[in-house]
Amino acid sequence: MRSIQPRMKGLVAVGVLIAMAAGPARAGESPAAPPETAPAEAAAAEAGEDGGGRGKSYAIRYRLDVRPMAGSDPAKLEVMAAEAEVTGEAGEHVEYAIQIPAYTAMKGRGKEMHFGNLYAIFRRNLGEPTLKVGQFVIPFGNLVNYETHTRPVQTLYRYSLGVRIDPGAELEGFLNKDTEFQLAVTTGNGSFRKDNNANKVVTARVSRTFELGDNELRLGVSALRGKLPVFSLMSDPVMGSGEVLEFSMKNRVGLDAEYYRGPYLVRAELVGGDDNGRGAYGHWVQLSVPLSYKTSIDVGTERWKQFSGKLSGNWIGIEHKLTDNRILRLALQSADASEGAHPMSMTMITGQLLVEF
Amino acid sequence: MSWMTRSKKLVATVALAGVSLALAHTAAEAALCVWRKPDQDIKRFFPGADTYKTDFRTPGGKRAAIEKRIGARLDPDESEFKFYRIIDDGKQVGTILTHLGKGQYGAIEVVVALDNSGKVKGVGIQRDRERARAALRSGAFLGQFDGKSVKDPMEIGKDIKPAAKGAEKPSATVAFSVKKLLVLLDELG
Repeated sequence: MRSIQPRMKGLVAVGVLIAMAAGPARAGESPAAPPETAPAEAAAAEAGEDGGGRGKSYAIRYRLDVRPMAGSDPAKLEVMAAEAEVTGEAGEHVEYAIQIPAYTAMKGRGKEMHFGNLYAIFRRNLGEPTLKVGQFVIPFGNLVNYETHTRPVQTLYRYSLGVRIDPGAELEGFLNKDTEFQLAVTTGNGSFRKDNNANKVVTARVSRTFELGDNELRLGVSALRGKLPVFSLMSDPVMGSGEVLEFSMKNRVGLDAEYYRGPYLVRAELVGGDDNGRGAYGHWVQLSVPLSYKTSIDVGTERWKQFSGKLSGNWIGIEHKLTDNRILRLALQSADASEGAHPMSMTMITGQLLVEF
Repeated sequence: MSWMTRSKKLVATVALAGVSLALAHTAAEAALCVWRKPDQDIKRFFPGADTYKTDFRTPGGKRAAIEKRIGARLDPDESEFKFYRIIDDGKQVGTILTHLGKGQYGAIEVVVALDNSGKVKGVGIQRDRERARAALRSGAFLGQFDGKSVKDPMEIGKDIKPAAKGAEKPSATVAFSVKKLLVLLDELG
């Protein structure tokens, strides 16, 4: 009975979240009828409808991510995220973002990789770098441009870095029209964890966008140094079952790319470095082929090798927009890993219903 | 006991998904299209401007009027719009708005800069997945919108030439985005 309570508590929280969204939903059924005032609308109303007034303003987005999964483990249906995201501004120079998870089936460090965005961005004059303070996605590789939080297939960060959201500060800006940079100093402990070892992780990235006729190429170079967790390759850290083998002083260099060739998009990342002097390297590549505005197919592959063993994975997935705020995804993933003398093979089918409102 | 727990959870999750689907049909909070490069767009469309501030605007009772003027319903996620007021020396010199249009192979993110009289100062594209990408982003195509106001028709093939042969659909998407943002500014200020 005790084990049921946290789950039921979570489901109640999800119910509350949905109930919060129910007001504008009902009001919006008729385009002719003025909707009831939603929280964000209330904030805007406070600012005045004549465009002259302006106080604190914010917007709230609710998200529900439900996934049926089948594979080596028994089939299950999980609520991976029932959450709210608040973004807003305070004055002319401060923006903020707060991620509020009401419920998730994720646990431990996997959960912390996905939940915990809580930061303020300070901007001064146009053209000057901005300063981000709080907990945020660290600027390494394709984490900067590819939002993986709502996707069944994750990028290499879960093994190559062992962290995604981390507390600290980040400077971000442009060197020229096509070149941007990020420089971050974080604790390496993950979101909502104390900096108990006074460790600092330094991450830097520079990227440049090249216009190539009808195509576009964005290339990024990243570097990272700091003490971070090394996960076992025998399970996926993001699914919450990840075992931390040790905390290593990691040195990483990464090359990331986004290549838009007409409607096709290739995302890639190449990472190399060491964990306390022991080599670690791998790559991640994904091709996205849109069939129409609503439907697209992704295929990809990844490899990772570290002192404890190696992992390779492949996947194919399809995404279909039911409406602009309801997305269905289906992904077939296979992975082979070996650690010590233990090999492991895994095949998993993940469905996803993602609803944002 | 564990079977019961799993069953309860399954039922609750399915119910939750069903309720969400029903609610999400029309519910929305914030427009999806983010403004990716404020500094560069301001420098391009309003050279010399100092900063910007964001006004949140909701269609409220003007939803029907807006939908009638644009000839389409607002998207499910469009219960709120961000008007970026461009400031120079303490005074508002214009407004920038963004819109996520439906292209042939994915979203087309359109940025429209408007002066204080409501005329287009410039149009840009942040991201797209179209085949005629360069033509769609060219000055020859986007420049056709300069100086247009909410009263001007923007029909592709008649008032606005398509970006390229075979690119009528994405061209119409951009034209619709510009028209829609002009109407929004006109109705919501």
